[in-house]
Amino acid sequence: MRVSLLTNLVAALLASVCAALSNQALAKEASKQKGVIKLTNANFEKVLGGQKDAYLVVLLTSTNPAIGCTLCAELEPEFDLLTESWLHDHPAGLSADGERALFFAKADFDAKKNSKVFVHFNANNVPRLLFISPENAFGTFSQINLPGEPGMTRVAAIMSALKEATGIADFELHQPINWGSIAVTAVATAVIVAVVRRNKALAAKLVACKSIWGLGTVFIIVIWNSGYMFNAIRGSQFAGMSQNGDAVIYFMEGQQQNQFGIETQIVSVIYGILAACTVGLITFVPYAANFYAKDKTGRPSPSKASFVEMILTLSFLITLYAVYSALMAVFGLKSSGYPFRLLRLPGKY
Amino acid sequence: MAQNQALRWIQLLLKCTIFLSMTGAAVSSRLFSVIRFESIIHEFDPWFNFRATKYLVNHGFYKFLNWFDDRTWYPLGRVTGGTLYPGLMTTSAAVWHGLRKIGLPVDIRNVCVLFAPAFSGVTAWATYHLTCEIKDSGAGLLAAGFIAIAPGYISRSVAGSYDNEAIAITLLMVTFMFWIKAMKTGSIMHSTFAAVFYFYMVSAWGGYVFITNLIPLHIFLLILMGRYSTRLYSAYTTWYAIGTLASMQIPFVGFLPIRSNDHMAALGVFGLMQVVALGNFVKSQVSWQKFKTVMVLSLAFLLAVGICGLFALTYFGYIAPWTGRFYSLWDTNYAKIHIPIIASVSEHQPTAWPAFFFDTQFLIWLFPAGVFLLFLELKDEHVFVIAYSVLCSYFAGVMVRLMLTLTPIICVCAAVTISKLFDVYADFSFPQDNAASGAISRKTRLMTLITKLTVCASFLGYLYLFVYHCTWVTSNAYSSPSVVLPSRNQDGSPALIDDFREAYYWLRMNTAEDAKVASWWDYGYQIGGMADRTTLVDNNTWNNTHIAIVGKAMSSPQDKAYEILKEHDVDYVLVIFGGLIGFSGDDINKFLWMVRISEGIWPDEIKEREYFTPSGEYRMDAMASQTMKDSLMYKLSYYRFPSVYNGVEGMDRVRGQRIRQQDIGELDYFEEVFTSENWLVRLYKLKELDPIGRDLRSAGEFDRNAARGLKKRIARKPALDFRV
Repeated sequence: MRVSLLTNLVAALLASVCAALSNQALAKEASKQKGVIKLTNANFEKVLGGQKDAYLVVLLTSTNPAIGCTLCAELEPEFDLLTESWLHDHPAGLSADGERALFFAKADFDAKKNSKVFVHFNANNVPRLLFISPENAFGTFSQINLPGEPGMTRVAAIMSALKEATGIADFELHQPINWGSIAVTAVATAVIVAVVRRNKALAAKLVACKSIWGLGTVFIIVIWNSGYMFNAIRGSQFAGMSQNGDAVIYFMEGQQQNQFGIETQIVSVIYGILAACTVGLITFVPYAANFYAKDKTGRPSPSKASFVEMILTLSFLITLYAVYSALMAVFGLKSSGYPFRLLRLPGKY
Repeated sequence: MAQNQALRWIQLLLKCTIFLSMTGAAVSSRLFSVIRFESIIHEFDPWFNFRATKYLVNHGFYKFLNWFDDRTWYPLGRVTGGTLYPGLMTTSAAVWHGLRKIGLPVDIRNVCVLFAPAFSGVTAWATYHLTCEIKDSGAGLLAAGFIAIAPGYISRSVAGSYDNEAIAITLLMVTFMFWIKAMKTGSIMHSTFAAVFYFYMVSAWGGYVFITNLIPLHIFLLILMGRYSTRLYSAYTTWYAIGTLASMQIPFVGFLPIRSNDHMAALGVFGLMQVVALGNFVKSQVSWQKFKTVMVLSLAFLLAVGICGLFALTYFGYIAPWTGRFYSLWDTNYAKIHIPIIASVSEHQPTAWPAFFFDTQFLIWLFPAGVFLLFLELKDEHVFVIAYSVLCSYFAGVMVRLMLTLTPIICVCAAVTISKLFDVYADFSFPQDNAASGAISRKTRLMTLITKLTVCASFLGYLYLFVYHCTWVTSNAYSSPSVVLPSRNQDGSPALIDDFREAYYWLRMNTAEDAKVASWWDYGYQIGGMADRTTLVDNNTWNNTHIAIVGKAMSSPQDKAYEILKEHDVDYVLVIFGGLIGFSGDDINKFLWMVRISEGIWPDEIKEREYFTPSGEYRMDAMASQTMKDSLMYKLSYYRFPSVYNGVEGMDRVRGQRIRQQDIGELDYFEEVFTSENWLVRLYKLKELDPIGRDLRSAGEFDRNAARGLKKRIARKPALDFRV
């Protein structure tokens, strides 16, 4: 009786030790898969469970384009950067004092292969970044907040959260140096310098050219006036998807204080065309009329000049009217209850 | 000759009529709110300005400058006289005194309410003169017409919005007008005027820094373009010397112009100007070769000395580093990370594109066209307009409220465009007497006529539409006092929600005169202005820690909050709750900012994460986190709320969630003293300490248990009749 109890106990202990992976085994598992342990229905209990003394960071995500999780796609390189930075300094996954171990695991949703992982974590939305500490029992985990702003800000925020939670101090960020971009910049600079040195006179002319400066300035003004800074600050989504995911939405309808990134592009093109038409009416039309005022022999040809003038003017005006109508219609989408429209297309709006 | 004279008179008469009608349009379109509601001060900041103006009128100028206000920022108080821009108040007090002198005793409130519309007329006049300098009087009239009715400017200058911006835009335009005149002619008189109005601007609005940097930028660009002249020298040095000395007379500004980095550009350009002038002189005296060496050496030397000096002075603390608000303009993430209180203000959010179109309609696409046309000419004054356009386009994109400074230049540029267009197409005189060109066939004439008529007609049509747009926007978006909210009854008839004034009036009449009211800072000025009670924090936001204290109290459980509030001698707590009628600007929606701001000071005690549900949502119903349910804000907002429905569950109409009675729990440390008609404003009194020394929770428990155990005891009073 007593013996059987003892054997049972020993067997249970043994089983639990065998079921959980030691730090070395985790490191081996991780190195097999480029540093990130892939969680599947088969292995997740083994990886997460039992008594181990390693911290685990688990990313539940879904990068499948059919699911359309933009945040997941954004997070993918950031998570990789985080993992690589950790493994760069700690190939065995152990911190410098050798007391704490940290491993990264990931489950990219696949109904067949890893659905149980998602059930285990009660995940009803992705992406989620979870944190499992060795002190707690199997099945308990906490969540790491994902800050809204993408890129390095988010990586840094996650990293500081991890440092705080694990007590590991020597977690440094190692950004891979983008040699390609540096090379391109260097070559481009060299080429430009060479070209400028060859054609000094032309370069000086270009620098002093009013129209170029004017166009540049106007370009900047137009994009700033069509909400470029909003996108830059808020990091707005480029475009939306309809509920069933089969159509792209270009405008956040009815929301005057919010916008998609693509709205800036559409609106700045509209502003650009409208401004160009106006400038065309003011400068180009008189220039063209003047050009045709005399025919090739030098005799005045007022009839031809005024014909050209009329055609050009009318085409500018019609473009202006059509594009301005489009602008009003687009604004009507954004501001529900806006009563003014110019040209109404039959059927729509 | 006589005919010429007559023409000039007709022109003058026409101009006067146009100006009169423009002022009429400007003023009348700003009066929607007075006609619909009443002559009332709007929103938040104007209430403080109004209160300060009343103080000025009652106590005189010197007392006003030395005013120490002990009724705000309790227990710290605020050196109000030294921390405000007095330009607005002194102007309206002057108007008030002036009207009394000529026998028109007008209530100071009406002076304040109608202040902004009156000054919009002056803005139109200044814009006219500015645009005259840029192009001609035709463009000037158009620009004046645009600025008179452009919603971007109306948004801050409707009747009742008695704010610094109301006068500041006027002063901005006047200063720029005189600056352009001065810089064109080199006239010392004009630059002195520019300096005087700059001083006036400094006394009226913190945004004067814009002028302080724009004018030097203009000069700097001109020097870079090789357009230095003695005109520029005399204009700039006069303006800088007088303007800086004058601006230092404002107590709030003091020595900032020589100590703060915001002002260093102006000083630097002043120095550069001297160097360039000297260089010019040397150049006229020596040979080109010698001059070159002198120039290179001295430039390198000056640059090194200047940069080292700037760093050294900043390092040793003689020059203040840039202010937070200034940083947040350049580094758009700065505010979000370092100063949540700046990021929390909705005026400081970036601008989405519809706001630009909403505020300026078709001017927004005439604006880049105008800038391009100015580039083709590029006179000295055009450089100014271009620099202004680029800078302000950026600022307006970063912060919604800076749309206000962009609007005037949009009006000017758009007016230049339209006026150039009409210069080309609105000239209906035909060169018919020109014998050299020979007879012009009828067909040609007809074609020219069609061209000109279509252009004029379509642009007149757009202008016409613009007027309608402006009126619609002004009437629908910018004419609500936000103290009184318009709404509709169930049958569709208009109704007014007047809860704010109801509650403030209750406070005024029913509480002790020295009662201290704790509320979120948004309502500080209104409580001070309407209820006349002492507040802990207000819209001045000068002390972040003090604001964080209130935030911490609101986000803590009630026993802890009680302790904090008692420590600060608070008697009443005021919360705004919109859940009953669906008013989305209530305190629960601002609550996260309270949490964030207090987390900035006490990161160990308050954690934003704990106020979200485990899946990261901001919820108030059964799924809300325990920390959220325990927080004072939750309790005070929803206390007794389900009793309006069935006593078990209440429907929050802002968040569309069901609020359960069991989550709200009991309120042991506070007692409800007033809830306004639509529950918008809820007032609670801090309970007195228990007379026998229990903590209030156990006292409350005890009372509840006692009430459950005992049947209600009916206190029988002895019958006291008169004995006859």
